Amino acid sequence: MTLRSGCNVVSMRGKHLLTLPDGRSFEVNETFAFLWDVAAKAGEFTAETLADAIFYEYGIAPEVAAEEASATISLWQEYSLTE
Amino acid sequence: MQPLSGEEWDGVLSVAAKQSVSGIICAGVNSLPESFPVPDKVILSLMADAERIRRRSALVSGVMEKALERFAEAKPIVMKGPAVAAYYPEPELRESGDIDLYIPKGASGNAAPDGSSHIKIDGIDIDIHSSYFDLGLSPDIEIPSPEATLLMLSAHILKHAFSSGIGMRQICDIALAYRALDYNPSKLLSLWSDCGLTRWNNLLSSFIRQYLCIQAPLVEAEDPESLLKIVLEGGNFGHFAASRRESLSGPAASRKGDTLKRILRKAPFGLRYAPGKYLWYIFTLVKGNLKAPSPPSSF
Repeated sequence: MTLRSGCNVVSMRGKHLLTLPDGRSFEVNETFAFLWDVAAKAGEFTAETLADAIFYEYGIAPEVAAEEASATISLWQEYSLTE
Repeated sequence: MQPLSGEEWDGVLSVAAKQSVSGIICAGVNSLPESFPVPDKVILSLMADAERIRRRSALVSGVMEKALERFAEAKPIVMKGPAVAAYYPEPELRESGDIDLYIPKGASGNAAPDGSSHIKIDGIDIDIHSSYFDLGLSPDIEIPSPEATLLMLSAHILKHAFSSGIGMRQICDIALAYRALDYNPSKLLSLWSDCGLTRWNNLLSSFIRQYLCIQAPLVEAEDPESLLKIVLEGGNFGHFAASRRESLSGPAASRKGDTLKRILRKAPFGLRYAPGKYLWYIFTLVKGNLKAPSPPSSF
């Protein structure tokens, strides 16, 4: 899957903002912004791509990283942030 | 540096929006030391504004490429807008309006297929001008050239200063052009003199030096207060002046009446800093039945 075109996460002074093509924007947390950046850089990505990134960045157990990645992707899909 | 109160930050956001410089303010706030406190809501608001401006800039840049391709035969020159954005450290943060193209009279393909001088591509307005300079100026100068660009930007600001009003965005444009362009100062000063615009440019350069701390050329310093008053009164193209907001929602006659009132109110300013051009402008408006020779930009 890929991130939905026109959606973007911007960061400034420790704050992160998800912006949508229709002009709406939402504050998101640091993990969301980190995973978004990983997915954006990857282009095509899977839950495994995100799980690996969480594992290396935060040093948590692989199964916890996999759960986090899966939950994040579910959230993105629920809000149509992926294609 | 003293921290700002919440009310002062609200004031910064409000002035930035009114002057169409939210993108520049966002870059400025981002460059403040981490130790300088900035409320979360201010950061989020500026980030949202900056992202909106970036998206619009990308759209306008794409449309500019299409327009240049469409009129390629006539060798158009982009005036203002995306062309001046290039002088900014972060061009995509300059708030974009419409696109102005200069195509000399007689050049093939100097109009839209229906002969009009206004077209739209992907929802972006494109105005095609057969004159490079506002206010009827026709100096003997190569176009494009750094000196011609600076005179064009200055005359554009002057036209709006004594008609609809002018904001910081256009003044930032010329200030950054002064910083970026490799112009010949004596050639520029001689152009000002030939066009009867020396005193006006002295005022504009004094304003730029005092409020933007950018070196702009001048012959003699002027007190920039009168220009600051115009800038603060109506913001971007005067759109935020109370009378303008009322007239914009009224009938066309009310808009024309408001335009005339504004121009007459600027008589002391116009007659002091550019009397010849002010009178020329009034004469042209009267001749055109209160219709401006080139309509003020709508953004």
